[in-house]
Amino acid sequence: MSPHGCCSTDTNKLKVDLMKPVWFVFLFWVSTCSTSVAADEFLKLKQIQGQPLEARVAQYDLGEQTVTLTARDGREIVVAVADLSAPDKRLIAKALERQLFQKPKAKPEARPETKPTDRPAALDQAEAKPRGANKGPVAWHNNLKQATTQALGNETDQDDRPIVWFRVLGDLRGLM
Amino acid sequence: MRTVSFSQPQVQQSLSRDFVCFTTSTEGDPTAGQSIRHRPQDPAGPCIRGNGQQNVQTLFLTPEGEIFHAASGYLSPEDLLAELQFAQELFSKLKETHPTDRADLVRTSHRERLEKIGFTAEQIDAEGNLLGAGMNMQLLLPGSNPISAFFPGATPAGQDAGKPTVDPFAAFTRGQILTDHKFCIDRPLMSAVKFEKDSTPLVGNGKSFFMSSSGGNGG
Repeated sequence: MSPHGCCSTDTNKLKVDLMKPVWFVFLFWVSTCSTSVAADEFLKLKQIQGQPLEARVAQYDLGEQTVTLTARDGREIVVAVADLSAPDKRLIAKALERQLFQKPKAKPEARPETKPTDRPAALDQAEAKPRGANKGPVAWHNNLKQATTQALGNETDQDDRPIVWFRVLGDLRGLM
Repeated sequence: MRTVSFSQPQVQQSLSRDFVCFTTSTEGDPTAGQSIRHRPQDPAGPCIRGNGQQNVQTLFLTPEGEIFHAASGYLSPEDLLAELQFAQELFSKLKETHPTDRADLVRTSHRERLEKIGFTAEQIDAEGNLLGAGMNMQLLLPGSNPISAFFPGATPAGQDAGKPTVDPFAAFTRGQILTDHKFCIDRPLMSAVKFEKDSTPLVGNGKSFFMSSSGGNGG
């Protein structure tokens, strides 16, 4: 086999290998956000313990690698992820994902009403404190040149300060 | 991070007193992941260290704009304070070091920190750690027992009774820490301007696990 053919086969094999973990990786990620996700909807699962079942997902346990399902009649069934068929895995994963990304239906009552412009004190847009200031809100620059200028000491490099660069998808002061 | 970590008084004090703070959005950056947007007043979601590594990176620069430390993904207030302290100590040493030796100092400091956490020289030098924690996570698949890459002699929980078991969350976090430090070891004092043009060495290729789905933010 030519080196080209060999590499191509290896690449395909690698792609297949990388696809395998999608289910586990998804559940791993979901569980980092919530190890107990309750889905509202009933799913038409094809083969749970040998027979079709309409149930909703009550919980995913990462450590045990199990999914707890609640059937229409209220029965709780714990199924190992390894025992789920591929179509059932997909259905359950989608249900978990939908639930995870579902927006809250109502604002928490205990939470005080805030204006859209409000933000944590840490993000106050007040002018930068003078060098050496050690109290008050953090001033965030959005220009590297400004930041480097301020980071450079006035007289000696002993006055220099390091820069914290917070890169974020979105706006630190708004939606992110 | 904004709601939990940046609001913590000790963090605020350290950021204001010891650092100059700079923020940019990675919107449109090919390495950026995807995320549901949150308002500042939204309640924080549960995160572990390293979550949302494609959407949030905390980098530490010299006043000349050279990156000497990086921490990707979510950092709790305690983790952030620890990173601030490490960065501050390393920066103090950099100031005392001859310019020609600064890169070596960065390499050595990151290596020593990894060793202190428990990584072996073999693990630190292993190829493939720069793919990001997301790729490292693939090492955590049941059956492959790659946990030993991070925890020698251990197996995933429940897989092999009698052997030490590990928490995969901790393994994920360790994978991310390794990635961050490896970035600094392999590219000490990388220019921030250069990094902004191509952040793949730290962040990865921008592909989330679900491609079209929303990923965690960590912010």
